[in-house]
Amino acid sequence: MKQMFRVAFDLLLEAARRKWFLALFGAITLVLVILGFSLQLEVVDGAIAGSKLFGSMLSKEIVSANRVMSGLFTVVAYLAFYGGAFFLALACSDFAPELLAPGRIEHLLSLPVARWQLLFGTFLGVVTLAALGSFYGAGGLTILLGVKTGIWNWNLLLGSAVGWVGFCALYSVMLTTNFFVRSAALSGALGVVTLILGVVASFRESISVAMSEGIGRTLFSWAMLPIPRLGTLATVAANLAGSLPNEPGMVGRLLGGCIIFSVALLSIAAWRFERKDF
Amino acid sequence: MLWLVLAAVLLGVGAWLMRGAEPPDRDPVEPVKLPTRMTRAEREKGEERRTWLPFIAPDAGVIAEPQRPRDPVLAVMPSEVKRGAVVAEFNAILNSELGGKLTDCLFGDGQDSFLQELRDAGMDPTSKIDRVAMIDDSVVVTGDFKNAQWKRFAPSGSDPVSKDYGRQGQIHEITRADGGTDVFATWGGQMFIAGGDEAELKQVLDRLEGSGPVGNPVVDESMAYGEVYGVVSSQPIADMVRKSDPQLASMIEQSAKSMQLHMDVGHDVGMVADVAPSNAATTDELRRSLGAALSLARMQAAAKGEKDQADILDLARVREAEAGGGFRLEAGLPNAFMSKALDECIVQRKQRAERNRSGVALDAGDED
Repeated sequence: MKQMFRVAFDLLLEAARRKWFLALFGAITLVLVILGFSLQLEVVDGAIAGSKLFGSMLSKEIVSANRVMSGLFTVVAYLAFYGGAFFLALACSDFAPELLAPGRIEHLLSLPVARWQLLFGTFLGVVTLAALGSFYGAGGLTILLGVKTGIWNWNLLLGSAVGWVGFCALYSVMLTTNFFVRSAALSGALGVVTLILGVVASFRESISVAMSEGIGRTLFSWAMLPIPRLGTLATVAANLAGSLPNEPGMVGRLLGGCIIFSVALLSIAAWRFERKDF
Repeated sequence: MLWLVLAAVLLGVGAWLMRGAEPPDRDPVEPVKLPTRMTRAEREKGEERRTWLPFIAPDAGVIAEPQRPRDPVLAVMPSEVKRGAVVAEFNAILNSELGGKLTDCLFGDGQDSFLQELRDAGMDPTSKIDRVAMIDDSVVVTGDFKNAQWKRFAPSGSDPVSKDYGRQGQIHEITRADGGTDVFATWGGQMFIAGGDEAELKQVLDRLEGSGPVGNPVVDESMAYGEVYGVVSSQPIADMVRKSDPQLASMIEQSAKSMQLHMDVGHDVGMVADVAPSNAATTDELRRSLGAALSLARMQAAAKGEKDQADILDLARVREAEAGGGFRLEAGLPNAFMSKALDECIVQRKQRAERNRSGVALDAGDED
């Protein structure tokens, strides 16, 4: 187990040296700093009486700060879920190909690390990186608005945690792909395809009803069954962030399903990794 | 191979767990309709209501100014009010979606003796009244009162006196049991005017027939939209909130001149109130204070778990006016909320009626 965490930690060190991730954290910081300086909120007893962005009036309406934050967090959660998943699918696509690169993999296999530990350690490293990015962004925005309005609403962190579980499912597909075809491009593309399939799977029942009865409809229904419901998960994340109600049972099933899917895909990768000669 | 078996089992378990987990259906929230401008139907209705009010014969040698047809209710409006002038489209409200319940809430289920007496006197409020206007201390009711038997409501022994005034007006005087007198006026079998003394009633009739001083009415045709419309001065509003918030009351007195009010009760109840400023700076302060108060009330309601109240407060808005330095206050009561409130009102009314009936029976028993 210790070896697995060491692999994950090594991956984080490697990520820190990459420009992509520096750019990700830099961009999040820049957005927060710009918002911090340009967003002027006039708060009276918990209500936003006036708001200006870059000196222009945003709204003439007096609304409660809580309502504004809920609306803003809902939009941010959706954007972060889809935008973050897309960006990370591309940015993380070459970790696995580099791990399996000739020369490096032989070196890693010569170390006292089990293959499954190498695999799960890589996965853990990448998803930790995604967690750091999303919590940094969500936490930063929460603190910024908390300081400006005096109201501390931590729901965006919950929303981003749900979004992170969705990314785990995406990355499990990306990582597994590399044990069959070592290609960063294919890995990234399949990550995006999984995201799209995840949205389609979310509307599986509505779509299948619209399809004409027959083998096509049955195949579609069965094929979509194991795919994580990423579209629904995005809605759940946005609802959580925006303090809107969610059905707890459904949220649990979705999160559980996503985690189980990720482990299942990693098991396929482990099976392939154990059998592969380098 | 163990890994593959594990993967297959996990995929199966995951699929089973996620089945049917589609995005939750959420009923779209229908916005409460707010009366922000006059609709075509309201404009047409206003045109239909214009009446050629009686022409006052000029003195010899004086050329009479041609008069245009006017809505009788708007014609009685003075150019200034102390407290306010508000018109309610009584018939339209009673015939709206909520009208049935409102009628039961106001008048009971027809067993009410006062309602029955009104009906017997040809003054059924559910079918004979068109509009009700409150102008300071006066009440103006329009409708079909051609066959109304006013005298049935005079105290026994009193001898009501009626005298003609103007072209179609009549002033009625009734002696009360305590020796004092009550006066009210009627006009052309379609208007009932009460409140104030004889001189004030005459002023109202003069305005109606165009024989009094002419000024800009406080409520004109351009304001006649929504089921309730009119102008309320800042004083009664300040008096209303003084007990709970004296600071807000004094701010209202200092900052707001008057408030133009429009309410729509077609389906939900939507209210728009345009506040006219008396001082631009303090009016802006009032706008912010009201917005903050609404927001605070919403948060408190949400914190206490009073969801209905929080949802209603959520519909309330304070907007800065496009021009003029005033602001607009918007509020809405959804149909479901109003329906529930009226149901409670009907139940309470029935319980009151039951109590009254049993009280009367008990009194009768005591007498026996």
